Amino acid sequence: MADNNELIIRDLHVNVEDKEILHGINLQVKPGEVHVIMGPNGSGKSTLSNALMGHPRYTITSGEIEFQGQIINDLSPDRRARRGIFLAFQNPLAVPGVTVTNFLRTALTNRRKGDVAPQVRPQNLDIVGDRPVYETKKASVGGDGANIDRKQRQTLISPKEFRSILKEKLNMLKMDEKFTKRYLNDGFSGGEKKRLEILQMAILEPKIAFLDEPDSGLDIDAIRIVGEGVNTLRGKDMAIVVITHQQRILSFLDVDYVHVMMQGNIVKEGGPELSREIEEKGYGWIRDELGIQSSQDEAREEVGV
Amino acid sequence: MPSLLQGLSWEAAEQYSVQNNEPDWLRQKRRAGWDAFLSLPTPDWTRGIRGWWSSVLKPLNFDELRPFTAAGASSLPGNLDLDDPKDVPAGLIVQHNSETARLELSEEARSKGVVLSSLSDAVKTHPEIVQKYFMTRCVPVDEDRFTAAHAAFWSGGVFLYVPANVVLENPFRSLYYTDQAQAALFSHTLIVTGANTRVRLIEEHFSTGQAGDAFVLDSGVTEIFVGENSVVEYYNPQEYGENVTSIAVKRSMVGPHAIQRWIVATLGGDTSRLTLESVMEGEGAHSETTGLGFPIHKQHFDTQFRQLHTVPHTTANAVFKQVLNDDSQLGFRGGIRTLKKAQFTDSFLQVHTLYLNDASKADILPYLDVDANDVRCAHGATTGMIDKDQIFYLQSRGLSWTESEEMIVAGFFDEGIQRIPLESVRERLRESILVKLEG
Repeated sequence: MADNNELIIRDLHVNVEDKEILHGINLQVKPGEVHVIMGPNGSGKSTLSNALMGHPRYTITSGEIEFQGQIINDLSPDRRARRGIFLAFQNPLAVPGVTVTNFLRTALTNRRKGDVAPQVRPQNLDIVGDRPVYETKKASVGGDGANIDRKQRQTLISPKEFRSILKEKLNMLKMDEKFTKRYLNDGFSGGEKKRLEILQMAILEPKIAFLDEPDSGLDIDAIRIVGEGVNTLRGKDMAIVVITHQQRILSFLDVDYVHVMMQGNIVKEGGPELSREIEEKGYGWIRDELGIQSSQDEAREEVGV
Repeated sequence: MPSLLQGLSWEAAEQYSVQNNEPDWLRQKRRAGWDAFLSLPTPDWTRGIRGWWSSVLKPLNFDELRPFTAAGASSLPGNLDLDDPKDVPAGLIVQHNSETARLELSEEARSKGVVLSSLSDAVKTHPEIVQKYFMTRCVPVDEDRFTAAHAAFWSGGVFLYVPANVVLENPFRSLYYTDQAQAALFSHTLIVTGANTRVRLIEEHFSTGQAGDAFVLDSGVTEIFVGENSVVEYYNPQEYGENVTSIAVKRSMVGPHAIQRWIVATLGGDTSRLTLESVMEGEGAHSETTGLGFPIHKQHFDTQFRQLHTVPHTTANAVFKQVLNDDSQLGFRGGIRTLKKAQFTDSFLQVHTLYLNDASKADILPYLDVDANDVRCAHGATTGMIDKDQIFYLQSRGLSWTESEEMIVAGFFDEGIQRIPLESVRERLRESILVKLEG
């Protein structure tokens, strides 16, 4: 199982608040491949990445996500992460008071332990799936991944080992050590946030990484830093899926496959030449070719609002 | 020492005063306290007494409380770690029940003329300073029924005097500890600094009791006088057991160009009420307040904060952060008061409240009361549950729900805790917060 790091998405339908956003996505990503999912705003790209990571607001109504030979539809986000799925957020959240170092040390410890099924304690029957019901009192006692309780957490990887890993990755990404003493994304500029996402990816060494708009809001220098970072990390094992509606970051990556999403479907697939074609001509020709009516959001984007 | 009378009575106070050969002025002060105690009502929100609307005091039976309880033979709990060689303070004073149990002062502090002693001793060694500052214009005897009782029954206490031009980075440490059932404690701390000084005090409140144990009352008073151009930093983790009612008044009189910094963390007590005030009485004065609170179970915490600007050109910044869980309740009433002549005041108050469930309850009332017409005063308050997107973000890196929640709450408090100067105290507080998170 562990050496089969293939991700297979079959006919995935995803709802957000009772509205279906994804209407049957199929996608197969093998280890080491670089995929790009392109599409205009509102086409469902971010929904796909959030659903893959297990965001509670995104409900899978049918279809399945298979990773490492197992269906992971019902796994909590942390268990997916411990199995080696990574999502670099488009807008990473700030967590004041939590230093990057502390956070990453815990995260790396868990990633190394891998996924362990949660032990639901008898008194925690109010736990739904493996996620506690937020409002209940017992929820704060834990139940999800209760195997990692406070005592066991004393066995975090040693500060010394963690520091050396951190240093190595910082050097690799040409990042300053000061970064890691700051609070997680708190007061970070757009570029710093994106680089921190890449640093987290470097440290956690996932098997498959989704990068949601890693280039949005960045100037060309920042894009180069992020793009080169991703390239450095891309090994023969690690698959990368870049989600973008721009083409700029793609010039730094060797892309294997390009998928075009529109209105919750993958409508066209091809090689790197497809992204170049989109760069030149936009999305209109695909719509014309396939006879797709442009939605409100997409139309707005095309007239440049 | 011969046995003392039980219960709060004038005979008990007088007997204590006589046994300790207290000067007349002090005995008269105790008497004034006792008289005020008899005439003032027990403040309670049901009686509509201003400033007590958010405090729900459980009925206090003053007749069953015992003031002047002896230290006894038992030792301090191990997790206090007073002898960590890495964390040697500039001075240490421990009050066990109503008696001073330990007193140390570093050679450096002693040679610079710093005085650290029990307040009872200071009455004899530094009578003029104590008489001038003890329960006079900072916390008056008859402020309310608790300060009145305090004046009548206080014992032990902490006195920290820093003469002019003494700068000490290394913090002092004082500890109030009780393991006596039905004790009535009246912890009093008096800090007086001369001009151009810098001093830090970590003051901890600790007890062995738990919920369901016999009731204990601590009616504490802290008075701070910050001399001209001086800096006083006062750190106060309160970790009483859940059988203690703590009614504390802490007030600082901040002189010209002086700075008062508060970091108070209310973690313990069954009912813990804190009145916290900075009185800016010198031009150029500045104060910074960080207040943390974390009630769980049936704990009820209440904070009355006032930032009082009395003269022109003073500045202040206050941040309160509180987290609630279980069936706890929290009251906060706090504001910025600017007198008419206090022009060019720049003062800000923030209150952030985080609920971990939907059974706990918080009443938050920030206010501005501004009489001057050329000032910048503002307040802001946020209230809500933990951001689920924040949890998702941490979970997406492999942290469980529980770990994510713990990390977010710990981080919420850590901006205050990380500024406390002793590593062992910081670690203990972080641990306490994690224990509270686990219920």
